[in-house]
Amino acid sequence: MKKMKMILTIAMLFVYGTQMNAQLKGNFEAFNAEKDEMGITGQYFGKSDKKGYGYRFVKEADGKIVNELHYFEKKKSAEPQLKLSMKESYYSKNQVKLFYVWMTSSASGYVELIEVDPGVFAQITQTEYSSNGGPAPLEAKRKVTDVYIKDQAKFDAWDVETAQAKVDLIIASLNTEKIEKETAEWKKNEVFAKNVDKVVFAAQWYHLQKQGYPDKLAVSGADFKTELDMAGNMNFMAFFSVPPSVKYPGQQINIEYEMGGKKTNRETLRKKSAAWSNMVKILETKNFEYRQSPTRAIREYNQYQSQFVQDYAAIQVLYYNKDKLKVGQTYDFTVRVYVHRDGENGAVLAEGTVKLKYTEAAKKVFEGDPTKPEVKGVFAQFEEFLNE
Amino acid sequence: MKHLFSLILPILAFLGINAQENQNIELGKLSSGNFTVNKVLENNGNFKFEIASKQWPISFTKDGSNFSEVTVNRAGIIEEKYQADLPGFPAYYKSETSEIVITAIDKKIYYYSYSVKTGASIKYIFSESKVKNYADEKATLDNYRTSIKELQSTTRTQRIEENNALAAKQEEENTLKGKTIKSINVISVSKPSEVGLLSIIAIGVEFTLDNGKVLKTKNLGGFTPYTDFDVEVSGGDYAGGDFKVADDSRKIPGDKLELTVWSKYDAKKVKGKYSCPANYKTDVNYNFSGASGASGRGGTVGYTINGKNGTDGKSINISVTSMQLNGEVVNKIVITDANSGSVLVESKMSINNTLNINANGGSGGNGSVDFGNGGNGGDAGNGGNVTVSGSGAASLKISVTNNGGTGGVGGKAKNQSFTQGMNGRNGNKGIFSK
Repeated sequence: MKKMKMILTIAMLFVYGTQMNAQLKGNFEAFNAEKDEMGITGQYFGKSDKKGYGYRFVKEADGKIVNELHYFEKKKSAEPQLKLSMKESYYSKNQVKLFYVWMTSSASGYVELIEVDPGVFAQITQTEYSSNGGPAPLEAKRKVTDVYIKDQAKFDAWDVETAQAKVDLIIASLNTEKIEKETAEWKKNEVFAKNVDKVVFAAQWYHLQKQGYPDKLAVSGADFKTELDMAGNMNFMAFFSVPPSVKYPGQQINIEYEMGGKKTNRETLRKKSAAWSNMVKILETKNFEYRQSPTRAIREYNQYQSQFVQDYAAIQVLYYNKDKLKVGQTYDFTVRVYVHRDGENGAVLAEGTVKLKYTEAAKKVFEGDPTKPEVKGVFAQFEEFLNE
Repeated sequence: MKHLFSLILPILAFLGINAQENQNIELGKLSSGNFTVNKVLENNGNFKFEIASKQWPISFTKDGSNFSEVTVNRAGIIEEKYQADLPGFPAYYKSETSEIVITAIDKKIYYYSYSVKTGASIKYIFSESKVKNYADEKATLDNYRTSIKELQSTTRTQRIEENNALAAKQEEENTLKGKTIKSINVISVSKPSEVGLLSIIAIGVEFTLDNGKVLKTKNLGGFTPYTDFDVEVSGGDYAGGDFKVADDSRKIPGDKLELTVWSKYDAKKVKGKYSCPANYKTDVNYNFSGASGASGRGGTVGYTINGKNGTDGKSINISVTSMQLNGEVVNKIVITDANSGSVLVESKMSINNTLNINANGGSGGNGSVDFGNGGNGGDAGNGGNVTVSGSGAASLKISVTNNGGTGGVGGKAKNQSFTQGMNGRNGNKGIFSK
């Protein structure tokens, strides 16, 4: 395929843009006499170099079903230059003929052919995903680099852009089906089924999501909390029916906090000043690519940084309520996750309410410990930030 | 001063020429039809345009004086429709299912994705006129998006205010504040069949007002906030529409769940009640594993370069008593600390369900990399011993995992003059007896 790429590149430089004004003759005309159940086998011409290539669909080899596409570019060679495997389920369920081969295990070694019309194949590359034993995942950004056409009468109809549009359409259709299937699979898990479109809370981030499992549900939910002590960690996470990166591509995420009738959100505060913009980072849907959001915190102790980290928008809402807080009381604290674009919230993606308990220890954390006057409470530190 | 004015004048002239128009004006300069496609090619971070061999049909839909929609017929085979972001003063046309947006500037139609962090990423420019280099076209588009956003503020503020007014109206109509409540109905959203420890049951509330109107919580399809009412709970906790059953059967008096609801704003405290028997038909999971040791962190207060030791899994005794509850056989399970004898937790569970116990030893922390010898890995904790006894022991389905932890890995030395730290010892598996 390296040789083929080089030939194609050179050929593109010289031949691109020229019109077909005569019937092309290739070296693989004999292939046209062969028949196969897929209707693939035959001589194909490259759109970019107008050269002939042999395609042969091979169903069986050595007594086994193989479902391969053999690709020939040398006339005298009995062996194909490439053997591409078919993704069988795409054909059996969707009638999509997709063949692939990993020439190396890196992303750049991936070659894929998709039939975009009977007798028309798009040659595709991708640069994101390394070999995983099957074809590149449907999320991969596929780029059509050439088109191979059996019937020369179709040469004018199919250029690279047309093939790209058709490939995008085919992949989008497969992706929709995959996402629906995945969502149904996730809903078989009771923890997801009962918490989808909700925000859940815990006193440790790893009670919400197992480390290294952003795309799998690997916690039992036993440690999800309906009440949290404000003195400790206050973590949360959202469950989405569809990953926001898929359903709301190219948009932002905004998080709103509400307590005691007062509410604010990250985007409003981020636009208030440079200090707020530095403190509250932009969240984009492209980083919310699973059915579980990254775990977040109202406030938590970060072992690595050896200090507490907190969402200043959440702390702002606690600060609004600081004069009402009484030891021993609980307060409903609501978190809403929105999709956001150009300063406006869109759909609510998830919502949850937790009771925050203002304990004696929490009072010391937020208002300061009288026995340690040198250590400032959270509210005093926050006031310093507000006065910056 | 004359000198300064002569500098400003060309800038003002430039800004005047490049004043940003909204898309209703920009699209007005174009007619629907076939457009030449300038495709962006990228090679190792370098971008250039190449003209595709076929033109693509693009059409513009008008709604009164505004252009409401742009339709791009990609390669003549895929019809993509894009709607105005802000109908009265559009900056671009968007689709809910694609990251692609469309903007026309000076008769060039940009097909691109946009990030507030990195700006535009152009895929195609549809134009009869020649396109500039990629960097210039991106700068034109980024500049337009930034400037037009400022100009949109009046229209956008108006839309936000309209949406806020709608939200406020909905809030006013659905809050319990200032409403006279005639009765309250507390309902489970779906009939729970398995109610055991840590089960979650979605429970909604309907408030019937004195005027006959019924307000509902979100999980029943309404808009009354969960924070508008107070609750009294027995057998678990209630928040955000979910009743979460307790993790210990001692917290479930009478083996039933009860919830009483009243409005925060109702002086008369009209109440609604919900009650549901617990059948304990859920698996029960308890974790008595030891903690992992922290990794070594040279130069940090409270740490050394050596990993800390993991702690042992707790050794426990499980006493199981068989009993009848609502005609079903359940096991009452009491778990005590094998060393102190104190009761750690009590639970009840149907004999058809499984008690899962984790009592693994914690792993040792890894030693840190250091300029001298690497830090030693911490020793791992041993698995806890688990002993089951009592009249229900034979019928108890139990799964126990009580492996020893893994010793921490010794940290590497940064240069060859020193040696890697020692690995920590692995923990031993605990004993399970039934």
